[in-house]
Amino acid sequence: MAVTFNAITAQWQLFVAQLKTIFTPQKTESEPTDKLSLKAIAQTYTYHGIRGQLKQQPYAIHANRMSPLLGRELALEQINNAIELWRKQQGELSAITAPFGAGLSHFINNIIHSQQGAEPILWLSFYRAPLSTKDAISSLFSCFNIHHEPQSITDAISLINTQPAKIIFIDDMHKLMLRRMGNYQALVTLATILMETRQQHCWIMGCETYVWQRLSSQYQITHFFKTVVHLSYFNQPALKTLLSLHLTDLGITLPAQNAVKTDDNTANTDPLDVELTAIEELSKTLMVISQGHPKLALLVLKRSLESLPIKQLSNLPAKELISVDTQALNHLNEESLFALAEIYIHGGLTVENLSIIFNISIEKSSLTLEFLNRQGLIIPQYCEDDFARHYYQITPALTKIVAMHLVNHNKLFSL
Amino acid sequence: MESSADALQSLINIISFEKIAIIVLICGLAWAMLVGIKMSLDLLTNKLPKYRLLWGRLYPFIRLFIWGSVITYATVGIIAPHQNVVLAMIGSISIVIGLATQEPAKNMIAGFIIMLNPPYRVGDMVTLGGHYGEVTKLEWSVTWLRTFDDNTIMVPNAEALKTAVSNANSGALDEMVAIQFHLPVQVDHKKAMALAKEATQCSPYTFLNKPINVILGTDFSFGQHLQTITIKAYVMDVRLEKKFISDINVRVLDAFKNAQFYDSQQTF
Repeated sequence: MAVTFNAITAQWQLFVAQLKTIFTPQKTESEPTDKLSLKAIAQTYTYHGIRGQLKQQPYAIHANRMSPLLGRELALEQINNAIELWRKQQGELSAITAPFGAGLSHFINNIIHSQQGAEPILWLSFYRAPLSTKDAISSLFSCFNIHHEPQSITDAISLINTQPAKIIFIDDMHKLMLRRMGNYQALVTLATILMETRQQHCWIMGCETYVWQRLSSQYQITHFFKTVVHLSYFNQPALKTLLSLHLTDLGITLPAQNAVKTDDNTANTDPLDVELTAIEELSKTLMVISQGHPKLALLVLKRSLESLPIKQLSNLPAKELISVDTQALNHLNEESLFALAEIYIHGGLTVENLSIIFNISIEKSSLTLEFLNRQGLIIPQYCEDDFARHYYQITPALTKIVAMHLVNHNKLFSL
Repeated sequence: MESSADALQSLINIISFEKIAIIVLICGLAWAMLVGIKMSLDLLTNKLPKYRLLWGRLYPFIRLFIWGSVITYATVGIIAPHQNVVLAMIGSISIVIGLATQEPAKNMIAGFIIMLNPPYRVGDMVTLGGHYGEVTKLEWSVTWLRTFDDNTIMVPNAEALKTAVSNANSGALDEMVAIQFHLPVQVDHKKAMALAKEATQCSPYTFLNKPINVILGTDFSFGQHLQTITIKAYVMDVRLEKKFISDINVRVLDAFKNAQFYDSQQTF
């Protein structure tokens, strides 16, 4: 009887094992060719530069090679109206919020290009978050090339108000926020100065969407900004236009339109129409793959074209497009997800900052970041002098995918 | 009126092999369906942990519905007993069950009431029967809790209706946590409150979409006047409660030590 029972148990275990084999996804040694891994995407940013001395940098304004804005007409009008109101002495603070990679810098560049006023325009990026009142005042003083030490917030406001009027774009307001002691007071100081100088200078802040939400819930920042313009990722028509604009970069040439129709009025399809239809179809599929992220959409299309010897998009069926393999994200543990969320929300972190935020040793912080780097989720900017100053940011083409994963795993929040 | 012989014949017909086989088959299908649904919900929980409370909450209802449907169909559609037989059986079974299984029956009825008007759901952090933990399973007669010590505790459902139940998050993923600190009465209380708030904001586990409140109070213990600083903040996920408390303690104590609040005790 015992033997029979053991035999039944063994058979049952065998059956369960077979079931598991059937339902478990097969792991292959080599990377599937129809999928683009996160690591492969990160490798397109191989040389991200070596980190030198940090300093506040004005952006270069590209007036000559300006590409058009896609689907941002209303937003552009709102910001231009805010600038006009400031010129009429009714200045208020303005903000532009956009998720990473949605084209905020490109949008600001276009605003600057569209402004023909007499005022000087400054476009800045804050390189580090202030951690004291003095830091905050110094950051703002640098916008006006004031080099002496600030005495008090009152003096700072008076001094900034005596400077010639300027339109100032701060591209990455999210970098001002840091989960470190002292940052709260610095932000309060900064906000006070901005509010008190808004009539003299036109302040327009660019901020990442999730950071803006965090600032709104924590500091009620929306109370101080009158014009807030929200940009989002591309929709399908905008993505289609983007593809059309980048065809040359992708090595695709559109055929000329057939001007003459055949005499027998047969239904010969115009090659140009065929190509345009192909772009339409591809943009729909790319929209699903990239979720509207322009850089990712272009990268996926480029990689798909590289794998096939194609000169016309009509020869590339939408189903042949490579998709993104996000398996690496699913294998992250709780700790790595938290680290990734903080890197995202800060726009990038150094080894030192991560160790402070999570109260961990600098070595542990370095290892955590290097692990995420090996997964292709973040890209490094190494500092030659000090490993604690290595800087890591989310792989630009993956920002949307990473953000969605973090939201679904309860690590990022929307209001 | 039909004779009692007909009723007896109906009773005999009930236990025919075909009917029993069909009922067993339907029960097997229902069980397989529930296993499939459970696996799908577990898969969804892995894919979208943000909504894990919703998936967890769905299962008890689905199970109730499926087994309810099976019992109803088996009784009405397959067995289809004579009215007299039904009445006689209900009477007999009620007496037997009532006498033999008072406590389990009580728990099952309590479980049914909990499903209809839930004081807690799967995923909630509750204090139940003197135990604090996350509700992992809500069954007909018992509720399963997992404590922070990783113990699994089975609490009879009747307990939930008999005693007070404390629910820390009531269906939300975030949960308020109160952490108290004692300081010498001489230290600058405004600075202490500001430091406590900022240190809490710095924790990566703080749910920043909800407010952080710092409450000042006084206390007299061990012959000393003390001020109490109570931080009331929300943790992002109920499962991180203890980690959050520890993190806040580390940060606030660091801030207080840097501000030399505890040194002042020695100078006075």
